[in-house]
Amino acid sequence: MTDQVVFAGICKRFGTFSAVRDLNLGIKEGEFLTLLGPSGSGKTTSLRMLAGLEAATSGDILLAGRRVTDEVPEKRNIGLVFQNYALFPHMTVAQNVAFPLQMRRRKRPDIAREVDRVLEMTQLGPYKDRYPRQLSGGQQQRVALARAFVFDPSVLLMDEPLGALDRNLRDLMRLELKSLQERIGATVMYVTHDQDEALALSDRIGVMHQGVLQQTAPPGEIYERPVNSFVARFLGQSVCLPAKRLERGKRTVLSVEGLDGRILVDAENDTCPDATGDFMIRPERFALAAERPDTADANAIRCKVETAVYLGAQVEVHLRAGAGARVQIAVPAANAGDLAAGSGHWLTFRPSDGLYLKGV
Amino acid sequence: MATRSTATLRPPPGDDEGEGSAMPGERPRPFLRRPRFATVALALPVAFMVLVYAYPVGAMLLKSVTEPEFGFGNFGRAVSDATTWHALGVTVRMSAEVAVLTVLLGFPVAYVLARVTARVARILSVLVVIPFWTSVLVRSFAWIVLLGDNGVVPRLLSPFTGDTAGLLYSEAAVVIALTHILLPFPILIIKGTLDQIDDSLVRAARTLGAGPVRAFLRVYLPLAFPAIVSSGMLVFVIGLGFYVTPALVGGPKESTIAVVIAQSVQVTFDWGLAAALATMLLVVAVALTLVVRRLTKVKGLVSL
Repeated sequence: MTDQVVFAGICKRFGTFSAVRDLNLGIKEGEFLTLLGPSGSGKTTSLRMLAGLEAATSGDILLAGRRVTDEVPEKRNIGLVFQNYALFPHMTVAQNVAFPLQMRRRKRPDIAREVDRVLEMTQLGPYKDRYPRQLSGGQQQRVALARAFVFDPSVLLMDEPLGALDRNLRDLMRLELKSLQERIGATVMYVTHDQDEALALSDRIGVMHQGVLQQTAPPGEIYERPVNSFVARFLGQSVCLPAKRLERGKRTVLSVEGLDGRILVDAENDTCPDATGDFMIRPERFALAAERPDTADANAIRCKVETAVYLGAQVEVHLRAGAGARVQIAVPAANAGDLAAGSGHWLTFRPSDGLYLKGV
Repeated sequence: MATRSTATLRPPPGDDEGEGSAMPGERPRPFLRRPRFATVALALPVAFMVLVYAYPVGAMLLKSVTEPEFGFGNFGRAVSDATTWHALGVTVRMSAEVAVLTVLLGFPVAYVLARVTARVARILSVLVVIPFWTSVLVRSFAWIVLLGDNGVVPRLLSPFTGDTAGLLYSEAAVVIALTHILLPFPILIIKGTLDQIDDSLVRAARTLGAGPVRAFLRVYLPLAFPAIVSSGMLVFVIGLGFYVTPALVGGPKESTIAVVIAQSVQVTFDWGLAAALATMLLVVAVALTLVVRRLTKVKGLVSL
């Protein structure tokens, strides 16, 4: 089965600025794919090109096997949820949702039935005769969603759809969005800069940076096995330090800036093609010990406590390694032990926990 | 008398926020409060309006039923005179034509002004407003030159009309001149509203299956509609009472009501009739405004 959406070598330039460079990406039918990246990384431009609101400079876009690169937006059969919802203020909820069906010249009774069905699904039934400005932010968001999928589009695009909502509502709508997507089995391309949203919603995440798609993988893989230090830093907490590879073999031996001694990482964790790159580890993989562990296998770094911040369940410990690197880890408060400022400790981790990556 | 004085000292409930919901432990309000800032700030413009607007209109209304004697004699004379009805008809028709023309011509200009960059919009807006710096009298005289016999306009049109006879002293001349003079109003009013229309609405309509024409007709135009109507109404009402231009470029056969009123005052010294005609004009203007407002209310929008 071919992909529902295909970006084939898509480039977009604005003058001399390259917004998107050689984007190659396929989205399977029923898949929830998120483009994640900081603002200006080209994720929204990519979405707008798929919607037909922006013309690609080169490359091709396929939608359900059809080449749509040069097609006008209204012919593409795409549902797009705008960040600000873009609800028509002079139309009621029902009229907003009926709009795409009217544009497709569907019969009046069919329209009424479809609108009712979709409003029911999105729990908007009681509000069908209200105008958008009479609705709360969450309700407006649901109307935008209902309007975008009522005509059964080939793909549902969402451009930071939860960005305008406050924190609590955002978490709630996130769950709603996911369950709705699963019920209607829609293919979704979602754009956000919020890593929590991306991790919680997506089947796959594509991380973008400076117009280049860095990595596309399921959430767990993106977090555990980032391909470079940009992806590592963008998702979750990480310690990223410049490193040099000294030896290769069953283990890669690294010399890491700011950490004294040699650092060992497993060969399969060494994905960097070059002799210089970045050493990366998630802070939760560190263990803090009072004594140097006796296994020669483990990495151990001598460090001093700079400050320890008590946060109830956890203690946030700021450490400084002998060679200068600063590391911040969280320790369960129950077994924090003595963390007085200036006290010496050992930071330990297994070679399977550290990664040697291409630096960005 | 006693009850009235207490009423003035204690405003009715709901007059001020927090009234009647005193918090526990709150000190009683001072018996005589200082007037609030808004009251003071509003007093001046209100006094000004009463002086220069309410008083003259009131005096006019009064004159229409008291000059030269008490009663509705003036209205009787006005209503029974065919010139009144003719002038009223001409006035309403010409104002309506001017309103429609200014809106039709003004909308595309406003559309462009709302689309271009802020810098270009500022420059173009100045160009739109520049005619305001010239007096209406001068602009009307300019049209006399332009539209007169052997004027620029008749000569440009001569290949089609076959002669260079002027268009002056006709209804067409008045409509052309008034359209020119009043055009900036719809442009600026409509631009103000178009600026508020979110661009993403049209884009949304496109992604939902509307072509450019249907997106414009179903989404953009309805949102601009309140401004189109209200600016048209404004031009219409201004046109109803416009005196200078119809008097200068209009013909004797198509006297507007304003011209008839001026003649009653200046030529026949019939103040009562003039006041009665002015009152009728006022009633027509208010009535038509209300009707149009009612007919064109757009739901879901806060109308102007």
